[in-house]
Amino acid sequence: MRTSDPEMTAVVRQETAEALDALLGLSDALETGKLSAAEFIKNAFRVFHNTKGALRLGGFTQAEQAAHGIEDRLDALRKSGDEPSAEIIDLMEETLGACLRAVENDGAHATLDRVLDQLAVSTTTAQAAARFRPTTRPPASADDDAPGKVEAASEEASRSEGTGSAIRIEAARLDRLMDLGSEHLARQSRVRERQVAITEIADRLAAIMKRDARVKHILSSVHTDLRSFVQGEEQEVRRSGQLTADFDRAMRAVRMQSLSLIAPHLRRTVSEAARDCGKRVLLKLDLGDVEIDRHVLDALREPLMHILRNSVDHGIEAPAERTEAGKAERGEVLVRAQIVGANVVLSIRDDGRGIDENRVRQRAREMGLAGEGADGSFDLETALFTPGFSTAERVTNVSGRGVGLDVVRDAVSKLGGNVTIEASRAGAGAGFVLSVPASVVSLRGLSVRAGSGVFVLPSTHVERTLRVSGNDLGSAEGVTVLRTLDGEPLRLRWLSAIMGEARSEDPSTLKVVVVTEGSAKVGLVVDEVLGDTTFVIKPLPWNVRRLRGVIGATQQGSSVLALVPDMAQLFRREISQAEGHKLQLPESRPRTRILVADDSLTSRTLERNILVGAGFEVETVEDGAAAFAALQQRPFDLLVSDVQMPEMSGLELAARVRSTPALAKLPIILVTSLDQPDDIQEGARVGANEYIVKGHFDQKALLEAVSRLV
Amino acid sequence: MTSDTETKAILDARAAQLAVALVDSAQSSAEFEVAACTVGSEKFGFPVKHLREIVPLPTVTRLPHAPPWMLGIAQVRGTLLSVVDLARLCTVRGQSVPRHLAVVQAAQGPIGFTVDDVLACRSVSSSMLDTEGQRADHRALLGVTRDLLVVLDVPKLLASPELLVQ
Repeated sequence: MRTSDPEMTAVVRQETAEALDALLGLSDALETGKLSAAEFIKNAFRVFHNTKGALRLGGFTQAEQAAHGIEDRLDALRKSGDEPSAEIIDLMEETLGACLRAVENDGAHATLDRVLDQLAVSTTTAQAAARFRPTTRPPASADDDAPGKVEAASEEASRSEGTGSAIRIEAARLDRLMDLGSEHLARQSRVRERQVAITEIADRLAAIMKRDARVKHILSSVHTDLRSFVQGEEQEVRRSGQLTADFDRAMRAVRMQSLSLIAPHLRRTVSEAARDCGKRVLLKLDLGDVEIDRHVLDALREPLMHILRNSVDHGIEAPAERTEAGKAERGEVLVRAQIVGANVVLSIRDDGRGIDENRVRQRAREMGLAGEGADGSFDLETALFTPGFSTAERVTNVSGRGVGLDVVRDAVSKLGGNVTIEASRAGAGAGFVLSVPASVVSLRGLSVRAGSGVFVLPSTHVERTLRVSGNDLGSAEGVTVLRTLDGEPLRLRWLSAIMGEARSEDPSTLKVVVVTEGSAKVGLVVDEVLGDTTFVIKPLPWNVRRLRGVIGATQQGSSVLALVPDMAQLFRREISQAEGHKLQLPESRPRTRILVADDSLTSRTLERNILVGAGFEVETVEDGAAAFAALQQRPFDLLVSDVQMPEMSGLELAARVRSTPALAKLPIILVTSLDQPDDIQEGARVGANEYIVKGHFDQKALLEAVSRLV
Repeated sequence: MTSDTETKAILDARAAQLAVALVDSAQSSAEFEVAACTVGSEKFGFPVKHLREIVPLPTVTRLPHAPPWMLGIAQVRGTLLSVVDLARLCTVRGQSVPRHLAVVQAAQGPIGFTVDDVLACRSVSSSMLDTEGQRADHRALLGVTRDLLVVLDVPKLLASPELLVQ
């Protein structure tokens, strides 16, 4: 049926592509008021008529039918004198896009099938309605809702089933339903808690009955009733748990929409950007049958449009430049979607000039941004995702305002996903890969406690959990690091500190969650690992526009809310602190040796643990005399001493040290249990360098004092 | 016993009084319902039309790096909302012990203000409100009644930039 002549196919493809460009131009002109509705209809009719002819010549029957369908619609509009609705314009664009893909794909394509279904539905009522968003499209007329036909507005919802009836639901109602659904899920765990409690009560009763035969006699019937109630309750809870899980799945299915719904927006973005930059760009979409939660779909729109604008403005060269480089005059941007596990992976590639690493590096240097390591290595991603970064020499209304890729990263991160830059050799185009969960109904995460707060770390960022002992810790460039992991030092951060919680006393073993973003890795120290969880992330309330470190909250257990840390931000700060270069453990340099003198075992152990944890070598003694002896026998870099000690007080010790020529320059930190101004003055007089009061004794104060001195 | 004339005079006087009363209530048509609550040693009135509900204070989850008047977030009927310490926001006298949450409906979504106890719903007429002095420290109020009930101007309160965390 189809022509097998590849040259002919190429011509048809070319003509269809040009028709799409022309149509996009027309709809823009209509939108901006440069073209009247009547002129638009006339011109669009001509475009579709010509395309139809080309498709027929090429033997693309189905595509021809689609073009014909649009022609009919336009004809009807011309006769009625109605204005073309936004829906019909979107449909026109989608139809031509589908035709183009069909031509490229041997005459058939899933998108084309859908478009044909849509065209088969009368939209006479659509003409009457004003410009609605797709979710609120007017209903198809009653005479055409034959079974098997998919209604225009909700083709996405019912594609999986062959059911004929579909209804439209206001988005807010669906959200409400989901909120209630997640609360129901949470209630479920509360019910389970209560069930455990009542089982315990029955056990306690049994224990009491064992002790006394008379009591046993009196209570046995109560106990039997209670037992049978508990058993019945167990079944009840199990059943309702299954129901809740089923409900969750059904809810998820209801919220799924076809990713291709976003196609018209993407096309329009590219065509607008191309026109603004005076470039010729073809957008190719390969969105397949990917379905995605409508919330994710909405949230993806902006980031995708942003990347596309970037590709057109920065990536694709001007026609002359392209010809010179031996490329086709028209640039191409390809958006491809795939399902990988529970995620949708979207790649956006252009065949433009690619990302000029030297230019990015130069610009990063000019802007004083992090990204360049001491060894000359350069982290391109870090620089590009830095807020405010832009290489555009001038601000166009397309891009270059420096409101950039960091916004993309934030948006994607809020969805629990990530974004990476791919294969960006100069001249060979650039690629961005976005990976987001297909459904927001439940994400997987690791629930942890830090201080008094419960936090959920999205599984996409969690690599593994570790228990490490203080001996495995070291210090590099002022940061606590873990030595053992794959030979690479792993930077540690205390989640409690990030979240403004009080940092609890570190036990001898630390619980560390290794989190990753791209190639970056950080060890988050937590107080407790509570376990795996599924969660629904809820955005923070409206009056919280931006909150450092947190992107949302989720309900965990009965009424407790857990916060979801902003992993992207965490890593951004991490990377900027590390200034993009790899940490080098100072293995070759001998470690700083500290002598701790304290008569209290608790204080001694506490100080020792803190200092060892920070990577110092520590020796402890019980009083001033022993300290002085140790100082004379072995080399130390620092002395930390209690003031009140038997035999020789800290003040005497300090005075002795200062009067010993070999030790005169040894830094001394005095520690006392009471805030006594006399001690402080006396300490300063005898030559102590720092003074710490045990009352407000905290890890930070000690480590800061130490770092000031060594 | 009174004569007919006297009776008529009395009735006429009553009728006149009633007529005046009617005119009075027509003038004070700007009467509205408020829910009166205690906060510290003061009383606050939330106009009922802006109030979604008053619930026992739910579990509040603290937010890091948030301003002190922002107690945190809580979940009320499946909806996440901010919990604002009204006593702190309005620098209220006396010790406030928040036990209830007044959930107010803003255009962008609900938001909760902590109150101590709920007293009653009562009518307030705008002509009876003292709009000057007293609590000039905070402008988001409609006025104060003679018995010192501070009536909040909810739309103004919700629009105040201090309420935003950014």
